[in-house]
Amino acid sequence: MQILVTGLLLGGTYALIALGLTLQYGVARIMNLANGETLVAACFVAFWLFTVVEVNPLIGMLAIAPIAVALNWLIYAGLLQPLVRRARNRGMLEVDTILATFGLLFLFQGLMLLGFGGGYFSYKFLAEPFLILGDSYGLNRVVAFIAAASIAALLYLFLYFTRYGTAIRAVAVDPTSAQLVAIDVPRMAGFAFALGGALTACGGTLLSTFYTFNASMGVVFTMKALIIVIMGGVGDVRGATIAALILGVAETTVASLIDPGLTLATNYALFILVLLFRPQGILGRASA
Amino acid sequence: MLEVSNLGVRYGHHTALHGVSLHVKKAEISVMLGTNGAGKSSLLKAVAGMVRTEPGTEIRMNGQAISGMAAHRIVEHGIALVPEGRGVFGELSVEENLALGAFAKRARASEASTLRLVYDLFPRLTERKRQQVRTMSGGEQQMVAIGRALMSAPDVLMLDEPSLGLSPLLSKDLFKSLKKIAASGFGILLVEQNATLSLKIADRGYLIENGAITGEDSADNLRHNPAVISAYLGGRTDQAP
Repeated sequence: MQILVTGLLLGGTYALIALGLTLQYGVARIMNLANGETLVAACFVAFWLFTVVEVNPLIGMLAIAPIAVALNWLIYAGLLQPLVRRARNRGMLEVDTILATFGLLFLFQGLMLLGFGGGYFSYKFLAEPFLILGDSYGLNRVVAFIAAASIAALLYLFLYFTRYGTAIRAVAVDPTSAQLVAIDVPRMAGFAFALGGALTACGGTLLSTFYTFNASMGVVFTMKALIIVIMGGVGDVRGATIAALILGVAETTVASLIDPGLTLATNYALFILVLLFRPQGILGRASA
Repeated sequence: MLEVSNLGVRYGHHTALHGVSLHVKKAEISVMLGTNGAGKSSLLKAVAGMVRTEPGTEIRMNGQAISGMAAHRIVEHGIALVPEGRGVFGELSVEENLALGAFAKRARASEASTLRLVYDLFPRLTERKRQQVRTMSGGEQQMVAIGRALMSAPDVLMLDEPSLGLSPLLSKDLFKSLKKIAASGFGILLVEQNATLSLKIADRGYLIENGAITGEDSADNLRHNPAVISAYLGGRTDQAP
């Protein structure tokens, strides 16, 4: 029981990180390998805000999210849109953006290593016990989960119950037809990319409240997010949420029953299983 | 309303259309007849802004030049395209597809009344509002496609082979609906292989061959034109002149 709850609490934050990537990949069609760097940057900003300015990370998120929107939009408009324009088909775009964001990954990682060094960072935020069904959990983990769940719920409401959100899903389904209903597809893709970056940054902020982080861990989280996105089905918000919870529980189970060193191995084992048996995602249908 | 003159489209070295001129009027159905590869689809795509046109092309909608504009802006000028293969959002519900049809700013004010018009026209869709479109039959998907296009409150509705893949009975229903749509004030430009049915509902027709317009006449005259009969009406005289 304790394993399940711990896993679900962790999965909530994973979900937020992966929702960011699924918007960027599913709607904007950009496989952003530097997604994890957005997360790490958010961790450092939250750390700085908390330790230097003494701002609660939950409030800090209100500043981090809009900054992430602006920066991700700049990255999209400056670096990625030219690639989108010249790509003749989706395969070509995929190759170009993977290479470009692979480069970005090292650029951002280098900048953060330069600024903060390779050491591990953490800060004490709400580090007190909280009881659920008789077992005690870190209050910071519970708060992070609730915050992540609320943001994910808002995103869901936006995507499924507003016209603008529906338009984003339409671009994910069929960008060619989307133009025929007056949707400005390039603008919508830029917006989805920026919004995705903000979601990942919020995930990073929440993660920093209970997780020890360092400047070079971004890649690991990009991989986790990628696994969740593929597992949930590209562009599928509901699938990604479920997949994130599964990953959280699987990681926690293996870490507490076998060995914490096997966390990453669990990730890849799940990834391989999904690629072998449900390449279209857990909720997805086989593509025609 | 819609006036096209000297339209040209090239794909690399291949000229798909050249010197094409046509017009579509309010509450009138024009049909474009031509064989496969004559350039019919390219023509509709060019007007809708989905393919690039050659210099010298002039497309005007309600007096405003729209050639070279991006597809999503052309919708705002009152042109809606139901593309070949329908182009519906299969993963989304009927309701969502129709709501997206009214994404255009020009469509917002009249959205409720257009939606009523669409549901009146296709009562089938009322029963299936929440159904995912990809699970529906071809005929129903075509209704969604036409409904979605109408939701953008166009002045001109363009349809690319709407009867493709439909049974003769369904095609007949579809053409009846198009007649009704035109009667409620929309201009229609129709590209069709089914010349018999389309000439029955059309007011005017154009003949297109090898990327150029080779004839234009009233639908009545075209129906009795021997060249049209032998090329598109299966050689039999539908009604003796």
